[in-house]
Amino acid sequence: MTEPRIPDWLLTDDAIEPPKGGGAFLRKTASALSGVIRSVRRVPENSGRFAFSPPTRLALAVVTILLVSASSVFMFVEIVGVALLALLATFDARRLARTLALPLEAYLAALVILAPALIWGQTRAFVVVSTKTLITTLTLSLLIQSMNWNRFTCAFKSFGAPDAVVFIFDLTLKYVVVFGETCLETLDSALIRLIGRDKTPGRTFGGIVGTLFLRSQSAAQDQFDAMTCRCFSGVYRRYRAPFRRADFVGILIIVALVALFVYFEIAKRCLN
Amino acid sequence: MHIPDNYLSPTSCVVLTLLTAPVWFASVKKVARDFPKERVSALGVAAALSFLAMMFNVPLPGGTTGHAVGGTLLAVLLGPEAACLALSIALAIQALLFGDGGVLAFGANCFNMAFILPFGGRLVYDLLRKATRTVDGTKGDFICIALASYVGINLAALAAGVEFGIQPALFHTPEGQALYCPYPLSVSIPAMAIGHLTIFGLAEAIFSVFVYAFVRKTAPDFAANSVFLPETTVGADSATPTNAQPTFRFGSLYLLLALLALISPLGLIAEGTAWGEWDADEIATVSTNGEELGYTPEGMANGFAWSSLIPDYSAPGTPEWLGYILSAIAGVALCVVLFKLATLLIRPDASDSK
Repeated sequence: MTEPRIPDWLLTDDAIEPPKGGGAFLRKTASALSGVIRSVRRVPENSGRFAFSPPTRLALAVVTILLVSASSVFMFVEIVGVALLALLATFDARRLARTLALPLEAYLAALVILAPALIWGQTRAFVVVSTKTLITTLTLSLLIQSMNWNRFTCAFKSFGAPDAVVFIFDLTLKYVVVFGETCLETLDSALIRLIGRDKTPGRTFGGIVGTLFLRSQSAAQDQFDAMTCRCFSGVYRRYRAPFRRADFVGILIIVALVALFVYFEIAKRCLN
Repeated sequence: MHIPDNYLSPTSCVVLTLLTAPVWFASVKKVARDFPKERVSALGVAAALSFLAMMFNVPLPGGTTGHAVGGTLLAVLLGPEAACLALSIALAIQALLFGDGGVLAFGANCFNMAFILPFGGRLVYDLLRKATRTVDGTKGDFICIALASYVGINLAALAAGVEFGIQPALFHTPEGQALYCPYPLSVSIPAMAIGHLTIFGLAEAIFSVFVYAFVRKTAPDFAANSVFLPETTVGADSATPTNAQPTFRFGSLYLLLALLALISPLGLIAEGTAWGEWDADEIATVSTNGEELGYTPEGMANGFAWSSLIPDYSAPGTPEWLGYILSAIAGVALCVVLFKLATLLIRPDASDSK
């Protein structure tokens, strides 16, 4: 009986050396996309007994951002900054890093943009605008980190936003995840097939986006059919967050902020 | 003891910063290697404690003021390297945000308060503990920490006095006028020593003992790095086995910080400026041995000026006490936030590998 012989072609090295940067475009796209999906799907971290309800949080954030932006007294901005800093000190390290990432990027960008003001001796404008940027983006980041996206629709509805707006916002967020995942899967399969030899990244990406577009059309039709079946009448009902005891504290903080803002502005005018 | 900008020549500042740099480097290395992650965030609490201690100004007859630092206390609780880092961060926040202590003189202030004070204080504490091994654990320890704190702050004050005092000899105009600090060693050393050998040294000792007693009672985990605690008191006081993994819950310490921040305006009772911390427009009228200086040194008049966000812990448009409380909250929160973020820089296996 003759011994089985391994064919020569199996013994030769089959080294694959993908060209440098091959598939980099697709990899970057996939990474950015998964980041977006992660941020939409993330679990809220601040749902304790003493947490404010979504509408109160939204109102608090909006009032803070508006007052800080409108304030002509830097002391008011500083007081809000100190309060936010004290709040940050209660966070654990990972949550701190997540919350601070966006505001610090915005702050650095503001510093760069405002650098000419510093050079021309407008130190005050430099400090005031950059600090306001930091505080408003920090407020926004705290809001985003504290609740899920679907709670935003709940908060919008509580403030009497038109049904159409809430509906579109809600559907958009849901389909960002659905299509994002489809896109991610297609990108993965394309990357595996390409084994690093992506000579025409534009064509590959065009194919992926085209597929996605066709899927979105069928998904839109499915959604419409499903809603018709459920007798959708145009009124978009959302769960209304119950008013909690903690919300009284939130409202008190809003009142205190407005009072402080008015006090500083009046005091400044009286002094002038 | 916070040396403001332009009291030391830029050369002196660079030299003192270079002298402190290896200490920082070794401290960072030691903390990253030996400290569990949870303990690094404890450094934030320690820095905040020291920050608050420095806000309580104590008056001295003659119009000058001073304060405790808590350097030896931190060195005993967490080790001198950790204390060095905590104090350095507290000093950086004071200089950059509140204009307390110079930005150029940051290295010099760290040399005195974040190197000489904690390392010197801890050395004295260790020597005293060895010498008083037979004395009852708790009582002996309080005496040791009080004495070590007293010696530690006086060593730091002496270093600051020397740094001030050598300036007129090294940097002066051809006419003999000082360019920076105008007081020679014969004035600066006694001026720094009198306050620290009496009231400020005492304040440091009392602050250290009180906080140490509080920490031992309410957060023994925090004190678990103390040289003697693992063998004697932690287990006995807290009914926790000495080899148990510390839990690092600092609820009571945060309460202490909040309380200290709220009562920080007590530091405003002491009026006057600390010796060696006068403004450039103030120094010409300062009299020493009954004689006014009569001029503003050139280096001070045309020196580096840093405009901090909340100068002198005061907020324009608000009462002085409110500005002080706001500053205290901001300083404490910043210390805690910075050290919490620092825990992310430490590899998870850094402390486990030991």
